[in-house]
Amino acid sequence: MGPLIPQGFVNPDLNLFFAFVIGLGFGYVLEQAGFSSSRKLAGVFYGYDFVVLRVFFTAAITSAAGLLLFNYLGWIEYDMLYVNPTYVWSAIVGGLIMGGGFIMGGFCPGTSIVAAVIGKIDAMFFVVGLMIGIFFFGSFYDFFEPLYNGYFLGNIYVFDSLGMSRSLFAFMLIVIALAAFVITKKIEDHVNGRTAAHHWIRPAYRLPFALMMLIAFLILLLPDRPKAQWHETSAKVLLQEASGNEHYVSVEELAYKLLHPYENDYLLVDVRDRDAFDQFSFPGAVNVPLETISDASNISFLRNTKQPLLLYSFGNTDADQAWLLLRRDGIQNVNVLEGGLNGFFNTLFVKSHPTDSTKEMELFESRFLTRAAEQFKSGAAALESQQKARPVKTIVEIIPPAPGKGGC
Amino acid sequence: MEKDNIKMLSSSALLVSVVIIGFMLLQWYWAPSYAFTGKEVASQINNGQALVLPWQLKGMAEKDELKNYTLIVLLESQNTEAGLFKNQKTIAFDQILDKDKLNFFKKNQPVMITAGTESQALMAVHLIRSKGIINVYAIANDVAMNVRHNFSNFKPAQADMHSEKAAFDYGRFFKSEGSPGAKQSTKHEIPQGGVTVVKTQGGCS
Repeated sequence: MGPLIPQGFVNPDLNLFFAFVIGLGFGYVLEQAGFSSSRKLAGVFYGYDFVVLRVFFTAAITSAAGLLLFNYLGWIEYDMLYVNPTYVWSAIVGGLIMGGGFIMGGFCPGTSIVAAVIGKIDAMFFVVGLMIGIFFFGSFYDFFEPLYNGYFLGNIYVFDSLGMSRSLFAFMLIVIALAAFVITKKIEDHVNGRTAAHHWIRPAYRLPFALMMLIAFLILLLPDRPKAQWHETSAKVLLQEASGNEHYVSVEELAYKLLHPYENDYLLVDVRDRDAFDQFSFPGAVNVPLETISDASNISFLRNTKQPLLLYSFGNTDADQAWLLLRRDGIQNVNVLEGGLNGFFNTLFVKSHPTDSTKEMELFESRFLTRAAEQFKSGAAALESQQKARPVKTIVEIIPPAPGKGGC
Repeated sequence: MEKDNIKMLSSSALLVSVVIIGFMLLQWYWAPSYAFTGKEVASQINNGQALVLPWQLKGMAEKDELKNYTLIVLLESQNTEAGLFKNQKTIAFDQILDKDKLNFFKKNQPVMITAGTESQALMAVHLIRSKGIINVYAIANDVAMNVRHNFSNFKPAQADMHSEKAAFDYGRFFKSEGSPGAKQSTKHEIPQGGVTVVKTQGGCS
């Protein structure tokens, strides 16, 4: 299902609206957690209050565990998530500036806004300083640019850099976070002169700790994805459908629909590679090569299209493979052009169309194929599609006529 | 206040854990039985090693390696007497996933499959591999051609032959000015909910 915007569930134009709503919620939570107090925030550096560390660690392990488990259940496509690019120098210098500002001012940018909104004067000064810093950076961007863009590592993950698996990294993060909760509590008690508790974990926290450890072990032991998901079609059903041959669409039907675009309800999906598609494709077809048809974005696109799909390749082999993959994924109404492009051209342009048959149906078919072949040779299919362009959810982009060219 | 917070934390952690584990159990119960994900099977098939081309078959025959393979013909046993292998076995396509057949494939690996069409052979390989039996291959082209072009009359011109090749200069027969040059689907080019009207070059506006 998720991420919602890349998968087309949420209109990208609503991005800012969602940012606004999430921002309201985030600000409210920060304020309620006491993060509008600079003393509380700076406490983490002096050892008397580690609530900031605990809140952010909780947020990190909750989102990491949720992301991995949701990915396992198929609710989120992990591979489609945006990963912030890493620029090493700007991360180091920016981190130092922010850390210094945090110690001195007692705020980070988000919490300073929250505190300023509720009328904290120190936060207002902090925000003014923030704005001056932004203005200064913007004014001298050319000077800072080499540092800002320096040492670019791409969209990397920490676990890749460390050479460990994603699940092991998440497991370790959760264990470290839980250990940090215990240790920081002990430090707090010591710094504040409170009598340290006898047990490492307070009884009230034992259940959440135990559940978090259970989730950590689940993440460690489970694969990234199960071998099959509940919405998938079983192999037996696929075999039954493949044996029935009912997913094949005849050459005659496609020829008719190409010549009558208004009656063509199919979304033509060319599963050949890009070069072959560039050489020739049916009007209105989209290109989703077999190699990438199982990618989350393509599956999402094909699943969400409202039209029945008609797959084709040179022959039947690749289109049938694509059909198996899409049907296994639970996509309904997937069809294959019988014989592929070679079959289509063979039937229309090579095979003889007998005119001496005694059966009326055969004669009718023969006449239709002869006429259709003439139409395709003269470019009628293209003309039909350009004169009566219908709204097709397609990725085909065709260059509009250049000024002064074409027309009557 | 702190007690309430701890209570809420415990309850929400318990709820989330129960919901997630519950969904996992439901998925485990409802999901069909596969040994590989669709993507894994696709990558096995797409790496080109699942389809045995005529020149590869010829090479295997010359090295006397074919005796190591079990040949399965997915037909109702017709015209296969002069088949490629001595110990070929005929199985109906719609029975390949029966328990006894899967056990047979498992025991007699490696297996080569030929069928009425190349596509059917590769679909069989796809489905059998998805059940975890990976040493299964499809022979390119249909069984009739494989029988006709037995190794004695192997033609080098057909060495690389399989059905996924262009047999025509399509543009010569089908004038479609709009089609050439159309862009490929990529992550960024897929329209997100919008509608694109296909327009071709030229014509009246």
